[in-house]
Amino acid sequence: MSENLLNELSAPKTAEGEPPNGILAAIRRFLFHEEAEEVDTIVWVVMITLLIALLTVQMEHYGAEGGQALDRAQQYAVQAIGVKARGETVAGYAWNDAYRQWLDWESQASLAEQRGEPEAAARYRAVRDRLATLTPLLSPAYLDANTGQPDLRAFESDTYLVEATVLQERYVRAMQLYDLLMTRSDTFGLQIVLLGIALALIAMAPSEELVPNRLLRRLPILTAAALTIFVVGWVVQIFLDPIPVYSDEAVDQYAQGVGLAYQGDHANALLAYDQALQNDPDYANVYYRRGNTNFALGNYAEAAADYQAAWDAGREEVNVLWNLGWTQYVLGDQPAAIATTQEALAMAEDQEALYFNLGLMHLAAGEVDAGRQAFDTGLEYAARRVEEAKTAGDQPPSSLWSYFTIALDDIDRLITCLESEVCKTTPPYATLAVDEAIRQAVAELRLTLKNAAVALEYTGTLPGDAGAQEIGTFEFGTGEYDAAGNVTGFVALGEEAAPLRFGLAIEEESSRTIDESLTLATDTSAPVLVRFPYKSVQDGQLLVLKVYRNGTESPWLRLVENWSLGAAGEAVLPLAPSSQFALAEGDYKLELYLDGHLLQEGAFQLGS
Amino acid sequence: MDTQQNQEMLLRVLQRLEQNEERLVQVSRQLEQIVEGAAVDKAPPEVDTAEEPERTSRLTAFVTLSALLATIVMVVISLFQSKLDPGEAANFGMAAAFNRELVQNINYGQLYSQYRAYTDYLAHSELQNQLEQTLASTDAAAEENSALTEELAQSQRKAASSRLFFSMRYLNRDGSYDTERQLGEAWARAEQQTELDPQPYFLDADEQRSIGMQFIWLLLWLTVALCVYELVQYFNERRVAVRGTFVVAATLSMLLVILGIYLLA
Repeated sequence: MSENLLNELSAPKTAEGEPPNGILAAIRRFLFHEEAEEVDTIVWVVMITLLIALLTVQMEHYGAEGGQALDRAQQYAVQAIGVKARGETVAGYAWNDAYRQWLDWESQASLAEQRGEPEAAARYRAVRDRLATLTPLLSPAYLDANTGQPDLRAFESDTYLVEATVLQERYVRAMQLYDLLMTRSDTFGLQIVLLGIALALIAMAPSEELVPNRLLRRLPILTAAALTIFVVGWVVQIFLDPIPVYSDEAVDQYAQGVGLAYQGDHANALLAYDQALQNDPDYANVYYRRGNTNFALGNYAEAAADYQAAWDAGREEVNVLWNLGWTQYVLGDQPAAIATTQEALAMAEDQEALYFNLGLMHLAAGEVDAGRQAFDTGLEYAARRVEEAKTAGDQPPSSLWSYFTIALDDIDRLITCLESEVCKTTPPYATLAVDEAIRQAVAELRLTLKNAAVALEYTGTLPGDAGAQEIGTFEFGTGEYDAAGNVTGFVALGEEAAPLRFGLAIEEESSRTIDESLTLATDTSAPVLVRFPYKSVQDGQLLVLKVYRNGTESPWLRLVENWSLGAAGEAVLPLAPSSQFALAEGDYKLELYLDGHLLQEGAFQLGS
Repeated sequence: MDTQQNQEMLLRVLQRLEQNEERLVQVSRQLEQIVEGAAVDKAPPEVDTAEEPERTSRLTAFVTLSALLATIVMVVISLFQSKLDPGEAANFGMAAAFNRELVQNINYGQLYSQYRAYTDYLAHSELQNQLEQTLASTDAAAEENSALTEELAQSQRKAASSRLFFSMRYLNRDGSYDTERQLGEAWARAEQQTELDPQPYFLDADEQRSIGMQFIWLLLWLTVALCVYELVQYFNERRVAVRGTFVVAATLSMLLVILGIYLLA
């Protein structure tokens, strides 16, 4: 319409002086004076003015909507934090106070029963039951009567986690909406400026006396017309792109899924996520969470597809690529895994954990040199991070040590897969490049990583050359003591020895999970000792003894001190931190480091 | 289809377009005649009389004054709109929302720190009850009674010391602890000192945004009226009826806008 109008209005009169034909020309002749140029100009001015007014309305409209979205987003954010904080307070009380006391009274009741005092046991159980009324965590809804353990995760999920997740998601979506609306409002503002320029161009059009040439005279008006048409096209394009309408139902289902996954109910979490995606097929966070749930269920192909979908739906974050790359590694698609992880590294080039993953992927693909190089780069970044923290007078982030632990677990699993073909959370054996060079490289890198982790944590630098010290094979056992409590003999585990006893009470950790690796020692508990010969060791060298139970390191059993036992001899060290505690049943593994070099490993088993 | 066929087809299309153009011109001329005829029928007779320039002059004067009035009204609208500040209301709302969560969290923290002490108190108090019942009903030996009495004394002391660390006024007659009442009273105290209800502020912000938008619509309406006044001045002087109609419409619009301002303000 505009182009026709432009043509009509800007067309010169015919050479014979005949007026131009057409409906618009007829209307113009009917309505206006004969001075064509003046009419053209004023019609353009009016059109642009009206357009500016309309765009101003739109700009204000989207600005106001954006303001409302921001108000909502901020409210959701504050509420989410509040709900979570209060939930943590309630759950903390329920677990650390009410349940701890409940356990305490139950222990007293058990002890009274063992002493043959049933009446006392009944009294203590009455107290226990009275305490159970103080929190829903100890009600039958959450407390398993058989095991005596409450389902804390279900309680947390019901108390605050789902609600906080809903609020958090609403915050994210309101912010997305705010961003979209304000961008649109700003765009209209820009278009108004362009139309203002168009008006200025029209005002600049010279008179016939100044510029007799008609085309030159009309050039500013034609430029203004072109600018106006461009803006109109732009406006149309904006309106063809609709503002997304977010589904609250999808958010609720997503939060339910998060709560279920938190409780370990991955199958039902998957159903909740599926429902959320039915209501909102572009919900990136649902894809991401469903990817995690599928991974937990071992559905690696589905997990990879979900991570990819999360990325495509707009969650363009490094952790999405991180998980996608790792899933591709587990699926055995190393070229894709390497490409994805490199893409993630392009977003976070100093993330050492990604280099460790990349190294493993190269090794799985049979690329030994590339694998070594990736690990070396990761270690360089880790060393740099530790150095920067030390320079700033801070401690290195704890996450760094977690990354080392995770990488070592991954390497251990790969070694197990290469050696035994039992492949859990590793690429399928058939996809691995299996040869001696790979085996050797993986074993070397494992050692390098272990040494680096200890050296960085305690010396702040990567380990230097190993010295001449030697540590002999470990022996595990219990001691024989004299009246003063000194060890006078050593009875190896498995031989007839003082019986290993386990305490009754259970210690819990601040993260509100029950940890059973240590138990309270009883009077007759015999502490487990490790005995080993050594030579060429210098006093003052840093000794680190790491103890793993069922494959996971128990940091509270870690022994760190300077060597003071002389250059050569036989050392006997206790594994538990004090005589108050005894080791719980399980498979144990020990690692001994001197100056950041792993010199000896050993394993033993307690209980059945 | 080869190039020659394409060219022939293009020529045929162009010929048809030319024919259509001629037809369009004919129709437009007919339309012009109809429009002019209608104008002649309805408008006052367009004869060259002495009244015509005078009438035109009056109309022009009216249009000019109306345009001036429209401009003044636009300024008034802008002034009204500048007084609106939804951002300020929203900020007050956010402050209240923040206070609300802060107060709730502090209240919960305080409640549960006391509730921990109450938990100790309840345990020892319950044990005390149990021991008293046992002592009252037992015919046990003196040695055993002595042990029970000692345990009773211990639990009494522990319950008494725990009692110091929570507020007794929230204890119910049955020994339970009224957490809701403690939270409610703490809330009431905080509410007397600071604003804890954000909703009125956010509603006010929304209301102001809505009024602002209505002012913007009125501005748009006035802009249209101004444009009409502007166009009318370039209308053919002979089209008195058409000019009059446009001017009346624009003026009515302006009056409606003024009514709108009155209602909104």
